[in-house]
Amino acid sequence: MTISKTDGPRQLAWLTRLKRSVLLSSFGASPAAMLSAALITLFLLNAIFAPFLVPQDPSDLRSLNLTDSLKPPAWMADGVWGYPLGTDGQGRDILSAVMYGARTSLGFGLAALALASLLGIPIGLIAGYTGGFLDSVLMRVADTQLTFPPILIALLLDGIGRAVLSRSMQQSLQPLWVVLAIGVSLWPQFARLVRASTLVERGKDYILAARLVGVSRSRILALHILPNIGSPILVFAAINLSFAIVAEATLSFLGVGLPPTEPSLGTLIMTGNDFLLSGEWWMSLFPGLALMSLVMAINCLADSFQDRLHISPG
Amino acid sequence: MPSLIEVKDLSVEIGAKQAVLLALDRISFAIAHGEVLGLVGESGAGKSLTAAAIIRMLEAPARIAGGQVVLNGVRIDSISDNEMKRVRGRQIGTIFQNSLDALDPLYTVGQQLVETIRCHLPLSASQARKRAMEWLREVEFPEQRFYAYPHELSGGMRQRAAIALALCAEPYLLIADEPTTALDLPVQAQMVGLLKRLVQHKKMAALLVTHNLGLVALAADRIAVMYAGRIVEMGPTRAVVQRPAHPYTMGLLESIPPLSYRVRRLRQIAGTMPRLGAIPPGCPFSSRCNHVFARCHRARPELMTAQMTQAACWLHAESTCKPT
Amino acid sequence: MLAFAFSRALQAIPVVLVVGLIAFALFAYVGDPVLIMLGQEHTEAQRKLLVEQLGLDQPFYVQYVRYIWAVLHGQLGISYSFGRPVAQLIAGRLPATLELASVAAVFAVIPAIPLGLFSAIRPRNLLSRGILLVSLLGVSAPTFMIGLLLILGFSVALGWFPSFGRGQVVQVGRWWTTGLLTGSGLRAIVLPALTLGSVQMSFIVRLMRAEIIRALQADYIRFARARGLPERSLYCVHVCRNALLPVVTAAGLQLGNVLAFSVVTETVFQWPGLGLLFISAVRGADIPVMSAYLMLAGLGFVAINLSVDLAYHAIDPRLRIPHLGASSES
Repeated sequence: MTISKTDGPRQLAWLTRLKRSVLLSSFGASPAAMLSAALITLFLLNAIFAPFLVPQDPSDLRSLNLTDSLKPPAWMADGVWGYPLGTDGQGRDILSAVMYGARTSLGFGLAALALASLLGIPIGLIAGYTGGFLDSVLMRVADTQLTFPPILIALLLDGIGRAVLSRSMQQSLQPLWVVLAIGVSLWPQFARLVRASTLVERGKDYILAARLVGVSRSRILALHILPNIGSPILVFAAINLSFAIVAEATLSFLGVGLPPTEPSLGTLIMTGNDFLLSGEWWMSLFPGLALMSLVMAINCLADSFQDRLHISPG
Repeated sequence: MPSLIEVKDLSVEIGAKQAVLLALDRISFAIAHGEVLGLVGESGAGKSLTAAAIIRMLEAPARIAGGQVVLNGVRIDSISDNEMKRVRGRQIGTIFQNSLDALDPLYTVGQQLVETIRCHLPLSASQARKRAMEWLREVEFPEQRFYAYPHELSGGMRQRAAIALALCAEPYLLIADEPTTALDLPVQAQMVGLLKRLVQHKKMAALLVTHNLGLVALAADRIAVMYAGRIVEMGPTRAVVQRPAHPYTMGLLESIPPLSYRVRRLRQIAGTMPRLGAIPPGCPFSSRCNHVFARCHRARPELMTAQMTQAACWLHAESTCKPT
Repeated sequence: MLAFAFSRALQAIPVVLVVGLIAFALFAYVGDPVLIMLGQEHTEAQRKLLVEQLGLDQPFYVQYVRYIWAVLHGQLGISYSFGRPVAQLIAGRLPATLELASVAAVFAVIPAIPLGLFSAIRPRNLLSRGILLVSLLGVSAPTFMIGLLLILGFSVALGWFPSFGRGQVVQVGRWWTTGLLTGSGLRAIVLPALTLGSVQMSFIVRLMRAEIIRALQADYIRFARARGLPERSLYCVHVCRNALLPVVTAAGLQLGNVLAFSVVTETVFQWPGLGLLFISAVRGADIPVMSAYLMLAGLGFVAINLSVDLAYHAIDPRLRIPHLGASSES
């Protein structure tokens, strides 16, 4: 008897599995899910092609024209079509800023998510598979951290970064530190989910069969368990992507996230916020709308996957 | 004796516009006062659907497509939903499958009994409590557990509480849909015995739905056998069990492990019951029947007198030359 | 009940100690307190004196025990940026945050339960779809965006409510200042409380809806229908109570998030509470304030978890000590 003949799903046909999986088949399901998928595609395309598409490069100071500062959106009385969504206090085009900002937000969200899964998934797999003392220690740590809302953890880590690093180092490392803070704040959720699914999977016959024929532990974890708990993890990752994006935006909005030299949507909203009360609403509203539609689209899509898979978060 | 309930040509459809399937096809039967009718068949034959259709609690895509249900001379299939609410519980008591989960876990047995009694009968709280106690005694449920929560009770006790709940407003008809499947065998027999005693004592009628022919034989006065949404044989219990006329009933009986006499080889009916969309034309059982002949594929048999029962089988048609 | 509460409280102690350990580690090892307190210019003797005063020459566990002891006596250190005792700072800010959180909770819970119930019972109703959409917006949208939109609508465009500050406050007793007794204070709290409550409310609406739909499918509800119980008692007595169990738990645990979101809300509305203090500490790397906030938040969360456990215990008879007989299989 060989492994491939055991009851368990095959190890290598990952792609075929994915193609046939509920995830993709649920696309046609609801108009909301389709709309969300379209929006997300739009954001992804924007992330790749923004530098070629923007009307004005916000980082290129020569293109700025101070006489064009604080223009309202084009459809309003003072607006011009050269700046469809208006300009900020230095004459920067809001549309361009939003396009670059969305790209930054998505990128940082993905990076933080990657870090969280890189930490959480292996820890969850090992804890779930080995059990015993290691498991209880790891889960105790996760539980203690889970007592706190992730955003507080991220803020705290951010603050620690400011205290530990010298000012110049802190400024140059800030983008990395933001990824670190958000990634670390999210790992326990991943670890818990992966551990729970691993526990279920570990008891199944095909894992037993693999163990009986002497497949190594790391191989079992990586090639047998991980692919079989893949779907819920993907959905969970999607939900947490929106969380990571919001977390980054929140940090930036609070002025402790990305520096104004590398503005994300959150940074744009923060700078725009100062102009809100004097009536220049477009500077914060448009980045805000972009952020909300990105996050809504991700949540909505994740929701419809989740309905299909019948899993609950956490 | 006049029937308490009469079901005539009751049909149920499942599905939306594109694909409508006939799940119950012209079911007819009647039950008299003090009588127990056993409704048996494999799972998916439409037994539970029949029960749900009578009390008008079909789940969304299923709906009544035709026929009548007459209870005490009143057509309850056409009264308003509000009137039907007064029928349920008061005139028809029901025990469903999974009756172990029939009790709300957050209230004591006593609270739920009193709630039901007071909802149907004009009694004060203390009178209702007294009545609830009486019912607990009636179903042999220890009275001191009046204040127990469902999770504190064993399966058999929960079952008894569910029976008391179904009967406490003194309905005329009891519908028991697989009332005992979740219980151990000896407890099942006890429970069926209890049901039968209560029905006779209270002069009710009962429809006992189960897939267990052995169990139904213990309690039922008459048996109706269902297959693929139709009644294929109906008759007095003794006759159906000892001289079955329909090949399907024979098959069912042969597949029951005998309790009393020496063990012979069990036989099972070949194949499985067709899905609703794939019921063969003519006799629905023709795809699995050992006695099948040409006419079975051509036309659908209605119930006809056969030996001591009524069976929907061409073998018993008078004009047929029986194949050898 | 008492025994249960006691055992739960015992279980919470390790968590508090671990949080205390982290808070202490922050306090003692992050940055150089001596450098921060004395500045760049100091003599070796000054340094030595301060190290001795702060007990920094003691072994780790002695320092930890001392720290816990000090915290228990309300000594949380001196803020680097304000130069005042942290305990004093926190005591001054606490009333504002507590008032905000309570008003937000009222705003959240009171409409959420009927809305959730309605959208579950009438899923095809247009209003239900609207409720669902708005609640999705509420859980998805970042808190600060909700705050900004409210300011844009109700302060900038309509001018109904102020966009920042706490309005006029009055002193009540020795420790408490309240804005709930003055007109401007009441007006000032509306928008921040709505912002803070919106997340909580959307969350409860969605959870309530899901739980009611689940309860409606339960066997005992089907059975209750078959018993002929009227619709009203079916929903109010059986469905709601069963659905409320998980809602109470989850909403209670959500209270922890209210603290987190209060940081954001207070920044948006410049609400002079703990959150604003914390964020300024993060910006200024004010470690004593951060570690005190961590300690306080940890205690708060443990207390919340404890009370949620106790509440659950009170509503669900299955958790009380069982009498004789079988227990529930599920």
